Amino acid sequence: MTRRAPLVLAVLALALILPAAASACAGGWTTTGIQQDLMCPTCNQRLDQSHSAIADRIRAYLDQSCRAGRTEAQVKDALVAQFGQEVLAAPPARGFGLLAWVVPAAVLAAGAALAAGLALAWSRRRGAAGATAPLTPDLEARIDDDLRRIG
Amino acid sequence: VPVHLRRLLQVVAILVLAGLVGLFALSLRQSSTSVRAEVEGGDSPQAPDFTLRGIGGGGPVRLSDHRSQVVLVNFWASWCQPCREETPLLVGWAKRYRDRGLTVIGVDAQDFIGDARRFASHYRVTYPLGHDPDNSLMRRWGVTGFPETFLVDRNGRVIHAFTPGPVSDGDLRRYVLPRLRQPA
Repeated sequence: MTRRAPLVLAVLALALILPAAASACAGGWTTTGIQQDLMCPTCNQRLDQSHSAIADRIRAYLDQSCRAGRTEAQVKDALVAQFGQEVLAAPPARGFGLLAWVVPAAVLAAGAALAAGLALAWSRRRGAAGATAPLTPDLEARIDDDLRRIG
Repeated sequence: VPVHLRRLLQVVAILVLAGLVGLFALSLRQSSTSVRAEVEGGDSPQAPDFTLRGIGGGGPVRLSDHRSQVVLVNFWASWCQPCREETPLLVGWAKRYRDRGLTVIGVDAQDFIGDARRFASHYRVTYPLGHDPDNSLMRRWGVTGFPETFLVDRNGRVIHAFTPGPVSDGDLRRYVLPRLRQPA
């Protein structure tokens, strides 16, 4: 039994390693992971959530591309050539698609700058309103009179 | 905040807002001026010309190459089950009425070109087939599913948009035959 132990361990190790190696394609992409970056062309759903005929066909293409040793970029380029940019869940960060990445970031930055500016202006105004003006001699005399009367 | 900076920010905000309103109006206009919308609204618009990469060999597929003919523009995809039922009918009509001036143009979209080619070979399609690579033609014609078919007369006007789904022999007899009898 002790002689067989290393063999059993080796088989167990292979069983754990092999599925991971089999699911990773050229460059490290996986057929399940890439589906989150792709859209079903006919149903406006992410590919991993779609059960349409064309979604099944694209999944078969992904398996086939993985076996053929294609990289993630090659697979996406091929799909865009057949189905258009709409097959990508997120627009590419180049050309016109760059706007989709830049505009939200710019709007966020502008909003943060505006909020900071307003907060600064508000705190200045509050500081100015809170500052006390020096007492005039006349007012000082009246306060003294009042205090004497109370005391 | 300095006054001139505040003015500048106001101008930028107004410009951004105007741009967004413009884009919204443009998208509304595009969706309402599809070929299907115009035909269903009672118009017979001039068919927008297109040039597509041919699927079956023989170069690009152009609608304008078929002026003075009656053209059925059929949108399809190889994975679409109703398209499989419809295609033999279209193949038969294209053959039977070719000499009387009928052409069918198949526009394959949302599909792998290889699958489309196998489909065409399986059903022995002899009429021109092109691939719409970015769905722009589908949008222009207002196609939302497969199959969808449009009838273009000899003057290049879209005179009928068939109900989405496969066309029947009765549909074709009713709408296509009278047009084949008419001269350009």
